[in-house]
Amino acid sequence: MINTFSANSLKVINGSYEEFKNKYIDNLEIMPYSEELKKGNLLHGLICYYLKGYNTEKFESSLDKDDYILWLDIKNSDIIKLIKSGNEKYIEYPFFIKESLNNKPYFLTGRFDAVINTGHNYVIADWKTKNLPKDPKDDIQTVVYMHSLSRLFNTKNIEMVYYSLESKKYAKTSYQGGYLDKINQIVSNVI
Amino acid sequence: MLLYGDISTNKTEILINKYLELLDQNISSDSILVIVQNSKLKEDFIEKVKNNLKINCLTKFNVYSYFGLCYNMVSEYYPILDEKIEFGKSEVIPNLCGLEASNYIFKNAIEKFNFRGYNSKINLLHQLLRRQSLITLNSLSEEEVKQKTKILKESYSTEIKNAIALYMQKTLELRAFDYLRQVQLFSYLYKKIKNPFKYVFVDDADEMCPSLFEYLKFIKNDTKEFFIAYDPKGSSRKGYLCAQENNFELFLNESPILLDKNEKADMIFEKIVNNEKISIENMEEKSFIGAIDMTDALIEKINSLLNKGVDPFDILVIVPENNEFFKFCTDKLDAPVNFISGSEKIEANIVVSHIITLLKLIVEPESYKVSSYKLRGLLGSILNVDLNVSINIVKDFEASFGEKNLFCIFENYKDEKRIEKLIEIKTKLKDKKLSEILYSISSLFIEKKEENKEAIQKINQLLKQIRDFENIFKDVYSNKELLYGLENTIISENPLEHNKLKPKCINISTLQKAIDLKIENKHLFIYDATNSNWVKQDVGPLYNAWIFQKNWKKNSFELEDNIYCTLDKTARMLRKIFLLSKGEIYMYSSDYNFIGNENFQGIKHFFEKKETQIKPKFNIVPRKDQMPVLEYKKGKFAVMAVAGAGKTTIMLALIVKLLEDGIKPENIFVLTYMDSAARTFKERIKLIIPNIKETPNISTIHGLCLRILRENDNFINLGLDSDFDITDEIKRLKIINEIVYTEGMDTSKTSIYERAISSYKNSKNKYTNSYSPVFKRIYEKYQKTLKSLNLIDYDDLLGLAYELLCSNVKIREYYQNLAHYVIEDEAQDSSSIQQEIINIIAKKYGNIIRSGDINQAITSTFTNSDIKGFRKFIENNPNCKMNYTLRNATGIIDLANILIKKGSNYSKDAFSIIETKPVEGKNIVNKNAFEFKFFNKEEEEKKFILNKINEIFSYEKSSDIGILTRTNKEADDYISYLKSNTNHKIISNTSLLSNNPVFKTVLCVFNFISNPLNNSLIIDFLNNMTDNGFYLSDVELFDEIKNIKKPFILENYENYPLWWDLRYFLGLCTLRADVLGFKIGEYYFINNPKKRINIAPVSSLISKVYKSEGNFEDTLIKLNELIKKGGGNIKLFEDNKKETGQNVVKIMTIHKSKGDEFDYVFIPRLTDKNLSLIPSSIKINEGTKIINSIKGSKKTEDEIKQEIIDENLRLLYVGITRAKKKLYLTTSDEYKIFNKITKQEPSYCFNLLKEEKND
Repeated sequence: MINTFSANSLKVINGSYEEFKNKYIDNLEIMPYSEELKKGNLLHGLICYYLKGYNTEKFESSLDKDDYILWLDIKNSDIIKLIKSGNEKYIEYPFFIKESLNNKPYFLTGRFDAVINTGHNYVIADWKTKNLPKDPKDDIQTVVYMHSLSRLFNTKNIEMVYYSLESKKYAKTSYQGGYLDKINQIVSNVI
Repeated sequence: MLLYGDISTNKTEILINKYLELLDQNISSDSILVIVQNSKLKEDFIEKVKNNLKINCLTKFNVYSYFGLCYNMVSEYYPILDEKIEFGKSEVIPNLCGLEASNYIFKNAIEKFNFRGYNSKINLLHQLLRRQSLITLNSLSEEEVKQKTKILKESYSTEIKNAIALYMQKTLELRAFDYLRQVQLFSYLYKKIKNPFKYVFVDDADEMCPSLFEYLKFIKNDTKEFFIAYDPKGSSRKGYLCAQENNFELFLNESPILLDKNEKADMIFEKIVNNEKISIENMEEKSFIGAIDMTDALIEKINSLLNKGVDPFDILVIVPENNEFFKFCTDKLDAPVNFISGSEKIEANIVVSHIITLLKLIVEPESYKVSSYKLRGLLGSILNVDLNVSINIVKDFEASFGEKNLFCIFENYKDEKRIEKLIEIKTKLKDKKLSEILYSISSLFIEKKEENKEAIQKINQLLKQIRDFENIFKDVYSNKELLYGLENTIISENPLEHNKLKPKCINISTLQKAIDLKIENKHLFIYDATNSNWVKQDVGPLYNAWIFQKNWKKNSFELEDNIYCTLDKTARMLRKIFLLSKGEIYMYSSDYNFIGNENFQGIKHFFEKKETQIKPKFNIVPRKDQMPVLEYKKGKFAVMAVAGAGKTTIMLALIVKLLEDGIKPENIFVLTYMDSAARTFKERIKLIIPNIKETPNISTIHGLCLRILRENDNFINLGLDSDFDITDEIKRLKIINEIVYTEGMDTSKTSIYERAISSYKNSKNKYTNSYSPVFKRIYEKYQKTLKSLNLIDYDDLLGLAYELLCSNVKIREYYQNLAHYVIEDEAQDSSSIQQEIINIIAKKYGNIIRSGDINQAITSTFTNSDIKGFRKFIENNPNCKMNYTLRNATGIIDLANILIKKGSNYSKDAFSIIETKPVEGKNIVNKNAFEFKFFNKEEEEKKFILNKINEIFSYEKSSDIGILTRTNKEADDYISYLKSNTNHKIISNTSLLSNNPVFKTVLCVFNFISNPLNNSLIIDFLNNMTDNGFYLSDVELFDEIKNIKKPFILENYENYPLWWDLRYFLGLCTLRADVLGFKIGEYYFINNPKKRINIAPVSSLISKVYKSEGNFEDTLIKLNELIKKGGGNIKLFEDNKKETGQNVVKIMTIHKSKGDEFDYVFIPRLTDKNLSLIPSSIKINEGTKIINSIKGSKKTEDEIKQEIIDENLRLLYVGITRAKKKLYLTTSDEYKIFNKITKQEPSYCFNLLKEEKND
């Protein structure tokens, strides 16, 4: 019985239960892997090392020209500077939250790209390779992440920042509430 | 906390509770490390934690297997590692790849160094990989490696060191790390980073490898608390999997908490380790002769349990190895099956193999020549094309003779949806990477259905491998190169591989996997308990899993060590599997495996049955001439028995007597000449002593030698790898054929050289100077080829076993201690090496009984038999002559005696003088029991025989007639003559294959599939099937098919089962050739107990040919060739028993008739040419000359001719003594030879025998 959900799996359930069943329950998916995916992983990885404080010069020198320019822009972005300079930060931080629906427990899982406690609020950063969510306020990822962070740190003072690595644009939203109900609604299709 | 408990205790639950307690104390899960054995146990652990979680949120679960831990740590702390690598290009994300890519790098590294004397590079790669694995997981230092390799006594240390260094450097350069490299990197890493864990849990610490233990030792001081669950008698993964026992009390400085012991399981361990027998009350044991019967019984039992409502999940079947035939048979189970397998070839899955065909078509449309069979399969499976359309497409394709690109032909069939899609996608994918092409076509053509789950899993694995290659090697390899390189990939045991247990499915698994996954069960079936592969060792010339254990302190590795280590590991594994069994246990075994080879050892012998008292069910009253055999007590003893003296029966009686006297079956060795004889002996012993647990060691000399090589890994002493295989005749001939061809000779010489090589190998003393340089070259090339393929041939079996016995004291003593009695049958046919081997193993107790009949030695001129040896044995030792026979009528006995007397006068060495006598009052009294007849023409002779047969059958209800010919061709000739002129049942022994209904049927279907539009092939099929009784004879149908102009298969003949069957088989083209063969065999013969036993051997023959030829079409050509030649040398179970109440004509060569008997015997065509007894009419053929020169024999031509004459005389003796009631010896003045009528003189034998008749 599936009782653990990520933001992605909830998105799929919301779209089509059959697709969810194929992919997550029956494992009938053929693993995709595109150049874009590869690039996304690479940038995520580099950001992670950088924010964790490793010396990234050697990696940078192996990037191809386009990626290198992209990387410089990323390093210079406000969000990266913010996190880099912070004291209390969590990079590639996994979470595992327990909830229940009709007395049946279920779990939310995922990983924050980066979280920083600025002192006056928590900021969740999420790196997107290309496209930002159209509607960050109601995006399922926002719902799940906001809710999870609020549980983990017992606060509602959260801002979520999506950053597109390619277009260098931002999409931001603040804590709204009502997230658990939305999650429960999707989960009820499965449990 | 230290817990001592086995897998049936609640140790894991205790650990989980402790874990939850820590979480409740607000300790972050980040700082807790949990190490479990594998990913399934990891999931179980996490699942249980989730279900009992009191707190609401955590960060991550650090629950890992050891390899998972290495993987994660390397990923997380990668920058530290990359910083240190001084060459190659930095990669932000390292390639944590599978074994294929890194094996490739390793292979390239090895090629740069010259390993003198190592011909097989595949073998070398294999050995080095295993060695690396042992060194890494045992965390051996360089010093330790040096010391241990000294014990191995191998001399490659420099080359190996260099190759490995190059390999390590390359992997660093390319940033490509497989799981073993990750372990090495981790062991560097943990010394550099700050330990993030304060609490460490280890479950199943007894299965831990030393490398992990080193890590725990390192972080010990940092760790607040350890929670370790350990099973002192566990460590089932000892040996190659590197589990090691450790002293945790010392490590933790704590006393352990002792959980409940399982007395029964511990007792099992103790007994096995001390090589004692265990008895288990709730175990049911069944043993069978053949593997198919064993399998059927197993399936029946399981189905009966399912019928009673047993949950399939509670049933576990453990098997010694992956077996395709077994897999097919499990189709008949009434519940779904979950196969938990180890390694498997990627193409084993049909859907995957079709996708690969499609891939090839897209990647190289011009150069890839797809075969019709494959095309049919492709169309029927993933392209989902209707059968009629598919037939037409293949027809068009064949009509274009491969000139047209397949896609051009597809253009005409765009109506088919999938074909249209395929054409569309082909243009899109033209220049893409291989992985993208594979991804696209898989997504498009493999439906997301439960039944394709396995295929999708394998495609994902293949995709990962291709992507690894593409990422690591970038653009070095073209799509085509990649595809062919990975095509033959084996999805090997990837430790990070995920095995899931599914509910409501029966689990079928190997022993180790069942233990690893902790599959509890209520019904444990141990299948194939006598298979020799239960506990596979891993020892080879360049590595030894025992010596490489970190705690191996001895300076040597002897036979006893091997035996002890193996026993110890077996004990541990069996103990754990019993701990998992919560109910009944069933053990099934068979004497012969699926392809007819003998089984030995296995795990059955550890278990003893409750009653061991021998209670034989037979009493024979021996005759006076048979008594001495039963009175035998000890020492060397020769038994000379004339034809029909009852040798087999009295031998059996002797064996039974020895068993009754308390001699253990394992201490009696019986050697027969043929497999069928060995099988008959075993069957008869089981009939006589139904409750016998174990039969004595009854086998051919080859069976015994194979055992000597394999038992206790004795072959290591010969420098062989544990994967060595015995080449079959097909492959052997192919190798010699190629060599002969490259020597510039005609390939008709192949069989001569084949015999020559065999003869050379079987001669005890190999004269190095007396053979031709040509032979020397051919021989050396042949040996080199075999070695490079890791093969030995049948003759090697004897030579190598002999070598082992001569050179290795321990091995020799082992068998000498075992062989209290050695009994040899057909001693006149045994080779000198065989006799030597017998002498060696029987040396300690000195009890050898050799029985035979020199007068029936009819193979010495063309095999390696050594009659002189037996002659000497008779002269030098006490002996008895069994010279009474029940079989023949008195006149025939007289004739036989005359032959011996006159024949000995004629040629002194032809016979051993012995007078056969009839048994008082038992034989038919008839002085005129034989007739000589002379004819003018061949036709007259044949007609005479035909008429006589009809006459006999007219007044006899159930008799058998034998027509014994000189050659196979003559026999075939008589077969067709009789078949066209009578309706009598004919059994022939000439070519086993053409006599075998399973093979013939499969071949008919194959021929049809290769050309379905050809109606005459359908007629052949129909004929065959009618002969076998599958279809009623329907003359109308025959005519219909003969006369219609259009292909039968495309027209509407729905009323005929034939039409449906043919279309059904055409639809099965999606299967591989051998699988298809099996399916056809099963479809028709599964309900026929006599015939179905050949389904597996026939499929295995097809499988061998297919592996050698590579595709369906060439396989079919080869099979058609084989049925003409009659060989293949596969062990088919002969079905020559006639049903009672039937008249039967059996036609075979005199050679094949040995050991048999018939009511009436005809020996036709006794010309001077066929049975030459005059030196001047004998022409020694070139082959014989070559072989004699190789034997180093200094025989003159005259001596050789004399030997041939002697053998012909004995051949006649054999022929004569087959007849019970009456014998006819005939010949005629002229015969048709090569289409020309030639005059023939009658054989001189008539002169020899004639005179007496007139008296």
